[in-house]
Amino acid sequence: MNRKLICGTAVLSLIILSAFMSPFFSTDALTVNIAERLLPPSSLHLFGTDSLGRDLFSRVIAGSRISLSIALLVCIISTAAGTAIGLLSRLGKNTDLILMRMCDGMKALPASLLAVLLILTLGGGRTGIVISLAVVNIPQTARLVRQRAVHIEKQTFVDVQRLMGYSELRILFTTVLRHVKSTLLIQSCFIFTSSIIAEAGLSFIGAGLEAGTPSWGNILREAKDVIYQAWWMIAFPAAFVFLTVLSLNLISDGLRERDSVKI
Amino acid sequence: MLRECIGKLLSAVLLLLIVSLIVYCIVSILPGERSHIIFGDGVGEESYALIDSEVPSYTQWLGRVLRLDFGVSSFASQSVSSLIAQRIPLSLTLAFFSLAFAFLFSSFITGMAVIRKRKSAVLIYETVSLISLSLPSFVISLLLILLFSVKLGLLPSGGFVHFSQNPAAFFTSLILPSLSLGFMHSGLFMRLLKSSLEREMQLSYITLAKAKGLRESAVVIIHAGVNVLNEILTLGFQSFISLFTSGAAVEYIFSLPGIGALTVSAIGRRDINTVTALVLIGAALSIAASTAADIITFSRTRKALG
Repeated sequence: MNRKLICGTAVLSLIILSAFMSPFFSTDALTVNIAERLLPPSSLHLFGTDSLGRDLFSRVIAGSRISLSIALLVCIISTAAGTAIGLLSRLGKNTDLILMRMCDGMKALPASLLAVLLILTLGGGRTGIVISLAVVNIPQTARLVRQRAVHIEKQTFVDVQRLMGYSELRILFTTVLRHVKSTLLIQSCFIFTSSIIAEAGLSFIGAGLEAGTPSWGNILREAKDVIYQAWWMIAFPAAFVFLTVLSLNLISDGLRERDSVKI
Repeated sequence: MLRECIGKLLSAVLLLLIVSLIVYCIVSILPGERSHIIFGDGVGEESYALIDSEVPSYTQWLGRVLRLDFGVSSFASQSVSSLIAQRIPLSLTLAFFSLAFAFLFSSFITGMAVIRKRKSAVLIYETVSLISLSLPSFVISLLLILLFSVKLGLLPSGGFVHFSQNPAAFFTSLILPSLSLGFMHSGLFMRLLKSSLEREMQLSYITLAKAKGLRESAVVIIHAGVNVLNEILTLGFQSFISLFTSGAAVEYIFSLPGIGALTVSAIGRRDINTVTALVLIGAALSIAASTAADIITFSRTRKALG
């Protein structure tokens, strides 16, 4: 374990812990109380209140639960699908050609705009966001897995397994997969990070979760209109986004140093 | 030389076709009724006649796209291509300034870390690059507004003045947006610059340059710096395109009427035609940029090989 890995994991665990503990120590994130609108941070409202008098602390904590769960889903779906596509492409020359050309085409599309287009066609909401962000992240994972698989397939131990009569599919999904694992871990960490940023960004420009849902992007979107009155509505969600992404970056840097893998 | 160039151009065209096929699939396999998607719920059949109810075939669609006919924007009742054309110059200017800032800023920080090799310089490099990779551009924008507009009152928090009206105000309105976009991109630049410079510093021509008695700064800037230019150029091309297409949130914050602000208003109106056009233009630009970078790198290495 190196220092970056430890720091990153510690900060991220704190954020995850607070997200899971939120029902115990925060009030409802949706209760509107106009009489208490735009109050600065105090002992009663730790992070202050927003323009509808909702408790900002509860909203930010609820936001971490939403953002983290969306990012986790995106990460799982796109890593699984990307790995499957990357490995399957090694089955034959034509499969390889078709799948990789598709991936190249997807990668050439501007990621943020593609996500917006997918959300518009699929309809927004949590499912729409998860699917579109997953689709955006699949091609790169598939490319990466394929690139590592090509390298691993040349090793002697794979030849030995071929001689032992193992089927190509079995070799790919056991031996090769095992050796791709460390690269995959770093890549999925990267996907997690970029999904957090992307989800916040999409909600911020109105292509994400329904207005009013407490997510970091939505809170910042509401804060934009009252930026001259309520600095706390910017500062606290921004700090949470920053700390989450920072800890994830530290983790992936740490992993990369540990495995000395270069992407 | 010519042969390789033509080969690269052909594969770029093939890639463009694949891209268009993917986009066509996304747009034509819309779930739900087209009128609901374009006009929102609660709009009756009478509006349905206003739009093409039939989905065009791929060849028809491609033919229109190639003539830059992306249809009519659903609310502005203006053709999508003219709507986009009006907004391109501002976004290009913004992307240019951001890229320039990112390049200068990251070369300075990385240069200090590589040349000085002092603990403090390396620490600054590590911290700045991590922060830059961890702050999304719209968060930086909001924080910069808090600092420079709300607290200090130095720079405008939004609004846009046309260049012909007041050049000075035009540039001040672009300072904060370019800083936020540029800062976000400088993290990538720094990482790439440092790893390529350090790899280059291991090579024997650097040892020779040092043996000649050149100063460390001269060695890094003149010798190693020139040789990592290829990689920086490739990243620069890509960043330029991604700055151009991903500035939506920043343009929205600073109410700059560019491509990004158009994207945001298109989302609000569920205007699929406009977003489709932007996706296609973005993809075409990025393919063009990477092909150009490919060809430039290729000709440079050939020149180096003699």
